[in-house]
Amino acid sequence: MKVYDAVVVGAGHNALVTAALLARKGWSVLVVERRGVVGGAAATEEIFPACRVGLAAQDAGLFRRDLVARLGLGAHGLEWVEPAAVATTLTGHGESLTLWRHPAITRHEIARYSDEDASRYPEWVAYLDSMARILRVALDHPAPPLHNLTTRERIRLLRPLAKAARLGKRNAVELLRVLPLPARDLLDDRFTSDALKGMLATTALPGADQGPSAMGGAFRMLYHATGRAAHGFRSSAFLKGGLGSLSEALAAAARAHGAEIRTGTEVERILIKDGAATGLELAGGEEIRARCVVSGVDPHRTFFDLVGAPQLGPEFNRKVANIRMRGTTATLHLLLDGLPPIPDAAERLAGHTLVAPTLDYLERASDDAKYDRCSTRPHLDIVFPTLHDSTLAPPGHHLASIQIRYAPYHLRGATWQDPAPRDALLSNVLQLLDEYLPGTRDRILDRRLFTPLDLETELGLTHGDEYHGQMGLDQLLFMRPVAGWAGYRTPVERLFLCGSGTHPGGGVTGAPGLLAAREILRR
Amino acid sequence: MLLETPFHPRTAPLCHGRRWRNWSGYASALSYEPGHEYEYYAVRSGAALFDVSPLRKYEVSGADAAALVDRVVTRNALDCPVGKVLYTPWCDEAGKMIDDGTVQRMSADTFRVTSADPCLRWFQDCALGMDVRVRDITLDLAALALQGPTSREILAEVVTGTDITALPFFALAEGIIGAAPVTVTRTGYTGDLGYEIWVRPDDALGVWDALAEAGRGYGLAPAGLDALDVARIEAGLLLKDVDYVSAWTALIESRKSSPYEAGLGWAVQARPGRDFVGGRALAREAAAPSEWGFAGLEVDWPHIEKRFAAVGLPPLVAGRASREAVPVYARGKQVGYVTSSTFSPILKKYIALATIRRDFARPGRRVKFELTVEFVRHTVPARVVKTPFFDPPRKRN
Repeated sequence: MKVYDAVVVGAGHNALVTAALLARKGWSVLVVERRGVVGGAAATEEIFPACRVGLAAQDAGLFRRDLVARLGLGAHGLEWVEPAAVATTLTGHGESLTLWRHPAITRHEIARYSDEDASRYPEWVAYLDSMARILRVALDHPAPPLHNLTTRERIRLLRPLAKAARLGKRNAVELLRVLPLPARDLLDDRFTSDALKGMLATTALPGADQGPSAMGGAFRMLYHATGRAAHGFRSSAFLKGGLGSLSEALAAAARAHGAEIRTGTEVERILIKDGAATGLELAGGEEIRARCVVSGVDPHRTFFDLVGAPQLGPEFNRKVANIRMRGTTATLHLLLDGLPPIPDAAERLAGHTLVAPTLDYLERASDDAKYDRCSTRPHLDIVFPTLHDSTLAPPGHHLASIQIRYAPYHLRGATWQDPAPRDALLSNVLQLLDEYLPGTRDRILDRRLFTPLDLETELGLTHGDEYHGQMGLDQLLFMRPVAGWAGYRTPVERLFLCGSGTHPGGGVTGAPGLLAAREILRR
Repeated sequence: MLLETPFHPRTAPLCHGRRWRNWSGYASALSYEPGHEYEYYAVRSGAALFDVSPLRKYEVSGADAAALVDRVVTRNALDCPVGKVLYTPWCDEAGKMIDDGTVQRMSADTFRVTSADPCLRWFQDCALGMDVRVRDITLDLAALALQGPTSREILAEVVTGTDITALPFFALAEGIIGAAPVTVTRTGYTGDLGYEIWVRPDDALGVWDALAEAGRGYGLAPAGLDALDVARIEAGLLLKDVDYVSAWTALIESRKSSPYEAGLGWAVQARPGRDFVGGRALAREAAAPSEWGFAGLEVDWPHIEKRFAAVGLPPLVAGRASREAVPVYARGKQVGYVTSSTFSPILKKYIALATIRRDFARPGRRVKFELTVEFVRHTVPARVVKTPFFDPPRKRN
């Protein structure tokens, strides 16, 4: 029986990064994916006939650029689209405010709302970049296991510390001050315009179920600004063919280095002998032997479904059970027979299009989520993938992919299997579109709603949490996935994690996969 | 304001010394008479009745009940037959003791577990992913310990529905006292012939009365914690937070104890394929033993007398058990410390439980015990002996 050097569970983007990097070092690698396509939450699929769209995520801007070069993804067909509009916020009555890639135009645009904010915006962009640059240092290195720092790990810490020091001690201190801040405080300190503040605050929302007044929001703003040029907002970069083309390029790179990828293959459990992983048992009973097992699926699913809690210690189990895994986002895909009828639609709608008119609006939306309800008036983040790649839909048609926040996984007094909450959510969103993008409703040919429960069922994301655990300050760095187990290792010898549930965290970054591969190779 | 156990209406009027102590939040008599000597002798020559209701009690039930208990405790609980009771410690993942107690197998898929301190969440954490329910039944179950040479006869007079005289050591039986269903276990904390009776709180007073009535001709006395403490040291039984510090409360690693270090190595029971909490750490320790061990010490009494006589005093050692840590020396160096000590009235010896370097823990080793006389420190010779210090055949027979 063949014994692989590594068998990887799941073909999400991080798992593919790890697989490709291990294979590049000459390891024999097998990737096993339950679904028919690679990419997990970063896949492009035929959701409507003859239309292809990413199931969950659309933006590729957070993906680490160095990985693109290292794995030669360009050679595997990766083509970036960076639309002139970074983001557009809809302010009602057909009005909108767009942040453009060109700073002068942005300034001009903001001035329609506030002269002072327009003047201050360039300083904000510089500030956000300087903070994000330091944060990047922490995200580019493995989290130090603070519980048990060996001399070797102390030495390894010197490099990132030196790098951070080069970016200025004052900046580092400022970063520590700002990380726990609510988005609201950070923004109130600099701007006056509700429209601008609401817009910028949306970057604090993904990865948590908390609104702009919650502590720790500033961290998420900075985290989302660590990708390609954020222009004061967050990365707004897309791929021809959608995010799935990234996953396919990663899969192609892995295969080119000799990795095997088996799709349509479900893993039943991770095989363990004497406290060490020895391979996988597939649904159907087939066994795969490997010298190490790498799991790209979330910690909850890895440890409770694939390993089994009784195989692990009670203290560890409690920590894993306590990881806050709460999907908060539903996605509505629309097939349209034309763009919404607003002026310059093709330009203005090419980035992120937002319904987030004020900070209070976002806060109220999150209030509902606190009590396990869908937001009556949710925050919408709309992407039109056909504006980046017209071949995704038949000629004359457009696709809209709307992230709806908040749609919590756990609903009070209902479940997502009931039609009522789905219908209510849909009708709330359509009503918002009437208010903020009037005329869109008439162009809808088809629609499909993915709730957090659908994400769990389709993608295997526990509680529909696409971040594999919320990006709260208590679930970061050496506390991700759980305190004491940073470093991609697990209590099971030769079982590693490489997904978004590990440091540095969620989003389509590839960073957990990269750092995990390095740690595994060091063994 | 301390809580009252279900037996309080009976114990309160008997507690002439008004000496109460907080045991897990309950008023618990230290002694009923002003001194505990009479109660101690009831344990060894008649029978003593202790209210042990403040013990924490848990019920473990479900298809995986045996698997869970086996996962938690160090002893092999999977192979524990129905109707048997195990004394066992349990450990954290590092193999350090958390607590200790008894495990009673009530049926194939029901256990009762007693502990000194709350462990519900721990048991439930250990049960993640298993088909089992853990319930705190501390308030649902009152408990009495009937201990001493005449306890069997007393019990035989009141228990119906089972032949209590045939109950083996560390076994349990269901019976009836008056009209009250009770569980009787042949267990205790005195190292003597003895039983523990587990009863619903509503039936508690009836059971107390029946035992008190039947005990008249058998030298039965209610007894408190002071007498119990002397008896348990004679029996070589550990007390949590005195003879060992729970891994949960120890602030530094060196304060924690493994079962091996606490003299409970016999209770670590490996079985092929068995995976229990702390098991891997304990297997490593078994292969490379810790430098610490457990020992019973007999302190040379004539030397104690001599030290006191030198200053013109009779030996002033506490009449009660001492929980003061006392250094133990050998070859001029400290090699450990006594955690509990007492004058044993039945052995007429001064005895102690000690945590001591393993090299000095073998029976027969000679060490020095620190003795303070009139504010001056001395040492007196002591000898390591096997525990229990007092082990009457009637305990098992």
